[in-house]
Amino acid sequence: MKEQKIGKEEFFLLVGPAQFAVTSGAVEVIAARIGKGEKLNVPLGKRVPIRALEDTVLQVECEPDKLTKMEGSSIPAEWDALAKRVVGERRDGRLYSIVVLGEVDTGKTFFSTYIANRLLHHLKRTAILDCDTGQSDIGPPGTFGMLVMKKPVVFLTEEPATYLYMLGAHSPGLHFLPALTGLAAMLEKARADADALIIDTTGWVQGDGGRAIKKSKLDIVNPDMVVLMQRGTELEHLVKHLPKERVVRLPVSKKASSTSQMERKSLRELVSVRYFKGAQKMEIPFSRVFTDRCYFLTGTPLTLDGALHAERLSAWEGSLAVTAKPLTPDVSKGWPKEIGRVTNFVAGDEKGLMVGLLDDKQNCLAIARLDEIDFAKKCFRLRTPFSGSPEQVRGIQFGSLKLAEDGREAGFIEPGSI
Amino acid sequence: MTFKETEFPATLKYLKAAMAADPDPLLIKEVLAQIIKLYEAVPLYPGIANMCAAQAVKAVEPKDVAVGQKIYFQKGNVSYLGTVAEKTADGLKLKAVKAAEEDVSVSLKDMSKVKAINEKILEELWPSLVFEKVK
Repeated sequence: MKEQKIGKEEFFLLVGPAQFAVTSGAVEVIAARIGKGEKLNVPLGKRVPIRALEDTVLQVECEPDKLTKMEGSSIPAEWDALAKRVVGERRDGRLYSIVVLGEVDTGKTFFSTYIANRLLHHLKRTAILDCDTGQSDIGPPGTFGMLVMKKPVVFLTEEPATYLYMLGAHSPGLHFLPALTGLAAMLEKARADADALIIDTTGWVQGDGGRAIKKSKLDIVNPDMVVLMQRGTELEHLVKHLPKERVVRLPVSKKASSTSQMERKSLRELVSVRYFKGAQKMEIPFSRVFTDRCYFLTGTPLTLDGALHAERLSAWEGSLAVTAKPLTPDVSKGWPKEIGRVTNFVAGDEKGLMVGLLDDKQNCLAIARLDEIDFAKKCFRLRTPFSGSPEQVRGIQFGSLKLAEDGREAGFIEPGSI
Repeated sequence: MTFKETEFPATLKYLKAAMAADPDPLLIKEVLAQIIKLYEAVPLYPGIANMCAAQAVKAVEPKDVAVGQKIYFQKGNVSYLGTVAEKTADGLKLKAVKAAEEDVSVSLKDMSKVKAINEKILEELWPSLVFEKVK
C-alpha cells in the first residue's frame, strides 16, 4: 500500500489487479465519483483512468508500475458533449434509447458505462442493456442482462442484473428469434423503469447474419441515437437508412486492447463461475412447470417398450423417445407406425445444459445448470444461485450451452435435439 | 431478404467445390466425415464448422507430409487414405489404409494429388470451442 497524491485535474491510469482508497479529496473513474473513505477494486484484466476532481490523496495497492500518470484525460471531450445532448433531447415520460455498435474490442462497454454514469448526474433512472452474450458484463454469459442503475458503477460485472433474459448461446447466430424477442422484452421493461437506455451490442456487424440481426435490432428499438465505434467505415452499412442527426461516429480509442479467443473464454468463465458460486441444488417435478424452447413435455405421453420417456408430438413432428442408449432397430421394431418419425434423445446428454428458470409471466428468475432429468421420478434436478422458492419457478427454458458444475464451459447441445 | 440465416448453402457450396476439384469418392467421403465431425463438435456454430472444414483438407507436396499425419494420395490410378507410420527420404509407410487391404509402402516420387487431412483443425483455429466431456 502506497500513498499517492494527485492534484486537481490530474489523470492517472491504474491497471488491475489493484485497489485504492480515498484518504482525502475525490476522484472520478469512468464518470463515477469516488470520495473520501470510499474504495475501488480493479480486477485482473481491467484498467481504469483516474481523474482527480480536487487535490486528492489515495492509498493504492498495485503491482509495480501499474499506476502511471497520464498527460491528460483519456476520455474524449465529445463523450461528455454527447451526454449533454442526450439530456437536452430527452423528453419526460419517454425512454431515450441509444444503441452502441462496434466490432469486438472497440470499447463499447467502457463507453456505455461512462455515458450511463454521466447521464445519472442529470437523470434519475438510467439503464444499460448488455446484449453481448459472448462477453457478458451484466448477468452470466449466454444472457441479456439489464442493469437499472441507482448510482454510478465502475465495473458492470460487479453488479447483479436487474433483469435477465436467457438467450442460451454465446452468439445469436442460431438464435435470431429469441435474440430479437429478448430485445423487445427488455425494451418493454426499460420503458417502465428508465429514462434513458444504453444498449451495448455484440461485435457481429458483418456478413449475412451480422447485417440481418443488427438491422432488425435497430428496427425494433428505433433508437434516438446510434453510436458507431469504428476504426474506419466498417459500420456505415448498418445506418444507411437512418437520419444523419441520429448517427454519432466515434473513433476507437488506441487504448482499446484486443483479446484473444482464449482470453475471451477465460473472461466468460470468470463471470460464469462467479455467478454459480454458492449455487444450490433444486428439484422441480415435471408436473409443476411448462417447458420452453424444446419438444420435451410438449406432447402427449406415450408408452414405448425400451424407452425411458416417450411422447407424441404435433402432427408431422412424430414422436420423441428418450432411451438409455442410442436407439437401434431392435428396440424400435415393435413400436406402432402411428407414432411417426422418431426423434431419439439419449438420457444423460442433457447433463450440464444451461436453462432459464421462468416465473408465471415468463420473466427469467435466474439461470440454472441442469444436472439431470430424472425420467423415472419425473423431475428436473438443477443447480442454481436462485435464492427464491422452487414454487416460484413455473417454466424451464432450455438453452444450448453446457456448463460444468462450477460454471465453466462444457460444450453444446444441438438445437432441436430434445 | 437476401441474407442467409443458415450456413447450409455455404456447406453445399464447399462440397460442390470439393467434388469439382477432385471427384474421387474416397476423398469426398473423408471431406464429409470432417464436416460431420466439426458440426457435431460445434453445433451452435455451423459457420465456424464450415470455415474449419474448408481448411481441413489441403494439398501438400509429398516431401512435406509428416509421420502421424492423415493423408490422401494417388499412385497411378489407385487412391489411398491412411496415416503415415514411417517416413524416409525416399518414401513412406502408410497404416490404417483405406482402398488397400494391407499397409502400403510407397515412393514419394510415385505419389500425386497428395492431400493432408488436419484432424485437429478446430483446436488450431478455434481452441476456445474445444471442451472436455461433462462429468
